[in-house]
This record gives sequence, C-alpha cells and structure tokens, in this order.
Amino acid sequence: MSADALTITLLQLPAHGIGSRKDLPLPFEYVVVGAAVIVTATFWFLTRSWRQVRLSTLGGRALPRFSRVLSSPAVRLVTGLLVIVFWAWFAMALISGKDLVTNPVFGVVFVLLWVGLVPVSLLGGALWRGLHPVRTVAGWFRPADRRSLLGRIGVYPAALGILVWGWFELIQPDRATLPVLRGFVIGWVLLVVIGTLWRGVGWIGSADPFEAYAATLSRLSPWQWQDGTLRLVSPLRNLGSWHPPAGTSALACALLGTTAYDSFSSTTWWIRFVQASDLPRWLWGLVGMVSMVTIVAGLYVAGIAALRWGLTVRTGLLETADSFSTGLVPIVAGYALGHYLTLLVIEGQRTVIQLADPLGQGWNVLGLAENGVVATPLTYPTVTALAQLLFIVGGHVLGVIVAHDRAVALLRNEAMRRAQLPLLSVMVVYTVGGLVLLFSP
Amino acid sequence: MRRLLACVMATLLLLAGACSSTTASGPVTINVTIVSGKVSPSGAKYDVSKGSTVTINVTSDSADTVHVHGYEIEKDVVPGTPLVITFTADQTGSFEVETHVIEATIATLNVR
Repeated sequence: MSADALTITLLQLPAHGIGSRKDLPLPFEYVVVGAAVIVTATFWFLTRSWRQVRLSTLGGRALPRFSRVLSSPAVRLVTGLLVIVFWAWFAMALISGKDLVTNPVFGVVFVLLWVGLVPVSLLGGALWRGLHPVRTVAGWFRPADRRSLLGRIGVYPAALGILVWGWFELIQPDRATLPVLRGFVIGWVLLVVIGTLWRGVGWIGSADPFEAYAATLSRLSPWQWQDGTLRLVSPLRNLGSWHPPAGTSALACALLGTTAYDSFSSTTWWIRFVQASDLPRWLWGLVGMVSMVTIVAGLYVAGIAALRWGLTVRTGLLETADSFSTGLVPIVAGYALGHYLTLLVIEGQRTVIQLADPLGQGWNVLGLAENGVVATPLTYPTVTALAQLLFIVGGHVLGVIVAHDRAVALLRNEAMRRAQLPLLSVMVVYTVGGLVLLFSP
Repeated sequence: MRRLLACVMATLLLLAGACSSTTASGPVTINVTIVSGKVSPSGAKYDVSKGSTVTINVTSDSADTVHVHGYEIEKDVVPGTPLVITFTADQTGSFEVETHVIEATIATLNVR
C-alpha cells in the first residue's frame, strides 16, 4: 500500500476515524444483542459472586529505585528541555507556518494531543502531567499554590472546557485554518497560564480539559504514585481505589456525549437532514452536540438518582454521581480508542512526518520526511472492526465491574441488586447506543 | 475475576467469528445533481469492493468543485456541463465525496 493510500485530508476530516463504518463479520443485530447480553451477564455474575469490596486499596508493588530515577533533577531537566523544544517547534509552525493541510499544527492538536493522550495515559499513567508545557515551566518558577478554591470546583471547569473543545473540534466551520487554530491555542494558553499564576499548578488539573482527561484515564493505567513512590498496580485497583474530584462525572459525560455526537453527525440521515435545512450547519451541530451530551448525562444522573435510596450514608446527587464515576472511566477509554485509534495510527504518523518541515520550506529534520505512512494493520477492515467492538464492549464490562465494587462499598446489603439495576440499564443503553452510532450507516 | 474476563473475551470472539462478510462487487455509478445550493444524493453511503470502477456524474446549476478524499481527485464543475469522474477504487477505507463551494457531503465510499 502506497504512502498516501489512506490519505484523509485533515482539512475536512479533523476527527474522523478512517473507515469509521466497517462491516462486521456477522449480522449487526447479533453483535448489539450479544454485547447487551455480555454486559448484563457480567452484572448478574458480579451480584452473585462479588459481595465484598475488592478494589478499594491500591496494592501492587512499590518501585522505589525507579521512582528515584524519575524524580531525579537530571531526568526532570532533560524531560523539561525536550518538552520545551517540542512546543517551541510547534509554536514556530503555528506562528510562521503556512496555512496548508501539510502544516503539522493541525495533526499535533487534533491527533497527537487529543487522541495521543489516551494511550499515553492508559499505558504511562501520570506521564501526561510530566509532558505539560505550562507545568514544566511552572516547575522552574514555582508559583504559589492556593488550592482552597480547587477542592470545591474540582474538574467542572475542565468539563466545560471539553464542551468548548467539542465545538471547536467537531463543529467550528474553519477549525482547520491556521488563524482559527491560532485563536484557540491562544485561548488555551491564556486559560492555563493566567489560572496558574492565580491559583498555582493545581489550576491545570482543574481547568485544562486535556490534563483533566489524561489524569482521569491515568487511573486505569498500571502505574500510580503513592507517598512519593511509584507503584506498579492492577489497573482495576488503581481505578477502584480512586476518589474522583468533584465534577468527574460531568467530565466523563461531556467526553462521552461529544464522542457520540462525532459518530452521530456522520450518519446518513443526519447529514441529509442538516444539508436539506436552510439553517446554518454550525447551529445544527451545536444543537446535536448539546443534545447528545444532555442525553448521556441525563441517563447517568437518572441511574444515580434511582440508586440513592440504597446508600448506607445518604450523599448529595452530584456527590454520589462523582463517587460512581469511576465506572464511567473505562467506558470513556473504550470509546476514545474505538473511535479514534485508527486516526492516531494513520494521521499520527503523517503528523510526525510533517513535523520535519514545520514552515513548509522543504526541511527534513531528523530525516523524518523520508518516511511513509504504514497502514498495514488497517488493510484488514474486519480486524479493525473487531478491535473497535472489543474496546467498546470491554470498556462497559470493566465499567460495570468497577461500579459494582463501588456499590458494594456504598450500598446497604439488602439493596445491593435492586438499587443497581437502573444504573446497569444505563450501561446497557450506553453499550447499545455506542455500537449503533459507531457502526451506523 | 480473570475467569470472568476470559469468558467475556471468548464470547465476543465466538460471536464475531461466527460468520463471514459478503460485499457486492461490480462497478458503482453515482449520479449527482447540485441545484440551488443543495446536493443530491446527500450524505449517502456506498459499498465499493476494492478494484472496481467508480463513476461519478455531476450536473450543477452553479460553479463548484467536487473532491474525492483519499484519492485526491478534485475537479471543477461548470454550470450546465456534465462532469464525469472515473477512477478505480484501489485503496481500502472510508472516503468522502464533497463539494467545496457549497461545502456539502455528497457521499461516503466504503471501499473494502
């Protein structure tokens, strides 16, 4: 397969997987029913054999020597310099590059950042924090840390940020032009830098949508820091022992809703409907995205509201929603990988190649420009479709397991099964809805 | 726990491996009309088997550009003069066919 065999111009397709619809090797209805049965059967199995809290402690193995290497000034300095060089390179392309599809800035933002943070966080834990440009610079100047406000606002600002990002990534008509991208990058820098000067680095975790997203996914990784030491842990325990900050359920619903809208907006009937309308497309896009997020969040809150009667200690609706939001994390990860992994594989390579020539002057830094895009894994649509199916169904199964463990910790014994049924139904609706959207015609 | 996950995986694989897919082969023809800023077909999906010939006939009442993604075919259409785009679908994937002036999605070609 030639280098441009699977070219998708970022200009028109900033965030669509290649071949978002692939035929599954069996009738689609069977897959959907099968997935719903698997999620329900998992729950049934759990209520019978999982009656004690098992995931509430981190466990795992401490890695003191590795931790010392990672926290050593030398490693910090080298990582910091590499981070600054990369972002300076990016800034150069953003400020003086050409307004062409071949400018790597589009790929860096829409693919390497937005999609890349998912595997980086799932495999590398808190690695994303270490690669944050503002955190890196802040680490050298150490602005005062004032966290009092952040405990209360949690990650709500980041959840709002995900919606703004969703608008930019999926709807804004000129998102793939340099001036518009510049505007959004400047907005992001102002948000993060001013906030950090105001409230310390804690602000980054609260308000930077990418950082909050990465931090949430890092709880499903096999790495966790505890008392200054890195531990190699079970991903499920990592997640199950987490007490998410306020707003984590809002963040997860914003992520799920915008991803659902991405699939929904490429269905034939939606395109046909929007293109037949005389109203501007961005308006329909906004209506569609807000509706999707509302449906996802509404279902989740309804499931939580119907569970609260069984709580041992009655907590507020949103607080309960955040407690159980650990169960949403694998679903978010499953959707992100199911929807965008193909995009990362293909466009990620293309972006790295384009980074050799940030200004469109024919440079070939590090010899990157000589490489071609390797698309071999995607030449088998069935394999791609199967992987997408595994990510989505697997995400829901893990979500049900983690939510059930939380339920065992927080619900009265006699209410265990009945109180959880509405939330399980929500999970099944998510599974079916997600598959229908991902593989819809 | 591990047994549960193994069961889930096995069921999924069994489900997905049960049958095999069939795709209709043969040439694909798409007749496109652009009238007062509206396209027809609008956002339609076409299954194309790899190696077959795709023909896109376009008539428009306004000047526009038709772009086949991935194959990077971009042709101008003049009002009143039919435009014919013919190519061999030799790359697998999902490719959009769009107009650049009224910025509408005509069709998506699913080549496999």
